[in-house]
Amino acid sequence: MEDKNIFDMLENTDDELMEDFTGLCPEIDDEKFEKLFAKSEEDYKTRKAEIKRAEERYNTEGDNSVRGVERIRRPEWLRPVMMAASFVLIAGVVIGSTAMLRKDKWMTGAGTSVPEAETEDTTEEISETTEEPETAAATEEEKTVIDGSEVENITISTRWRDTVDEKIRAADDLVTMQQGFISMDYNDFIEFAADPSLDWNGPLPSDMRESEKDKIYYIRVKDEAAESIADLRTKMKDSYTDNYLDNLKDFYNNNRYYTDWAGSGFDDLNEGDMTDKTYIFLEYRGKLYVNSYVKSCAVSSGLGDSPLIIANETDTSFTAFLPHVTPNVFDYNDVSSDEPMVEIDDMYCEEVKFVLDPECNDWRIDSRIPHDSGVFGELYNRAAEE
Amino acid sequence: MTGTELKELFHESPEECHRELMREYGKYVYAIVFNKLRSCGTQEDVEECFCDVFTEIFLKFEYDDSMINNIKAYIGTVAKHKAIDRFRSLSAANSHSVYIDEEEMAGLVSDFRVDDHFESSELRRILIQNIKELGEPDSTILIQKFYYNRKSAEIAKTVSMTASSVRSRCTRAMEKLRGKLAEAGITV
Repeated sequence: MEDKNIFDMLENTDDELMEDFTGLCPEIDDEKFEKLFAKSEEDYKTRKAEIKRAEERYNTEGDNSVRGVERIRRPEWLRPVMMAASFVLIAGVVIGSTAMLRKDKWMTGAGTSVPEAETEDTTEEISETTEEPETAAATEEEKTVIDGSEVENITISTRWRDTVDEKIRAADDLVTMQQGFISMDYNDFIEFAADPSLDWNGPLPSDMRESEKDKIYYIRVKDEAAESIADLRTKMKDSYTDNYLDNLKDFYNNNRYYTDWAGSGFDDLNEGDMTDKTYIFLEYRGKLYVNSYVKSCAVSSGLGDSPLIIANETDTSFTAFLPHVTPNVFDYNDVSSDEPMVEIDDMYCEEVKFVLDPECNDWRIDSRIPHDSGVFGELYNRAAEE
Repeated sequence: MTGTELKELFHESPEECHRELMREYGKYVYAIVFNKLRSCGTQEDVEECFCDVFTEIFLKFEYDDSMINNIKAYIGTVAKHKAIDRFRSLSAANSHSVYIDEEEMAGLVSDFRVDDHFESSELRRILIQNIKELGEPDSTILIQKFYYNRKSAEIAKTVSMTASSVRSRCTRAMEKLRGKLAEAGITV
């Protein structure tokens, strides 16, 4: 028993000693190998089939969602009636306002000069009449309000698809480390303990959910193009405006399980020490690291066949509403996700404002606001109606 | 085989590629998984986790090319994470967790510091070093006997000896190890 106690010490060993353990590990005999291989292969085939089914389901549902929207057709006879009603309403407002003005002028003395202050009072009084709000309501019908902001000129766009797709892919690849954006040295990583008070403020990658709760791993970035946070910022400016980068902290604070996209100030901490902050990129003792779980985030496959809604379009800016399958902004169109496929009305979406950078005549992302389910469906139906 | 070669093989035959992946990195993954689950899992648990790791790797290998250049480190990371997950679920199932009130926790926190961590890492390093210095087949016999809990008959096949020779060799090797550890100031 005592002998075994010495060897218990070898549990949970450091990675550097793992090579020794591998060398001393018993061989897996052919019979056992075949058994283990068969089990893994079977599980792999099952999961691959699930992924394929999900892809097919998504593609089918995506097509149905786009084509299957019920367009509301008003009866033909309703048109002249509504025009007449609108005319009566507008005429009523005009006549009513004029009558009220005349009444006030008569009461205060028509034809005499009216002091400025009294004119303001009169205007206020008019605005309190019952006709005025109806006029405002008629104008309001042209606008949609999303989280307190007005959204105008809503269209299901094909014009901006490529621009939005390209920029969003580039931006997401950048923060999710896809497509080999930066080279990493997997052998060089540091580990901190996550403070239990750390608020995991969003959905975690499903396969990492348990292990991420109390450990934070950072893998060393080894890339000449990005040796510091400053280098990364320069790289990110190809996709984002300065304004966005300055406010990125708020985005992560509010919507993700990272404290910020990049951070430093951990130099006093040693490996294994506890921290209540977690970053995508970390500058630690002069080296740049990336959070290991960023690499494990779901792949953002761009817009795919999903509809794209554009609003508030001007010569120098426009707002795109990108549908997501899940509330996680980096998981949209993630067909490999465990999340069930959803109808357009139930989709989450992200509001992305693009502005034209005059220096390079190219579009940059100025803000990204995630919305709950329902918003995209509402905008989509509105655009389809118009 | 390199990651690129494996990827080429994948295009020819995914199943052969998977088999080769498991053959190449099977021991490595097994060593990692066993290291994490030794204290709380059965042999079946270790094997299940081992299979899960390779299922995950097969999937990633198909859909994600970015790890090809450093496949071993990637596999190591996946194995470690999977083993930690399994360790947690097994520990929870075995009700290994105990209630600790805040006062006790404060004491524990103040006790568990980097010094302790460093000390146990250092002890492990010395132990492994001394086991390796015993030479073959003693180091293999000791590790397989006391760390991997294998029977003498099973070890005998690995080192081409009889079971009784393994037992006597094991006793002598253990004595030698004790002596070496004592010289290093470690009493067992």
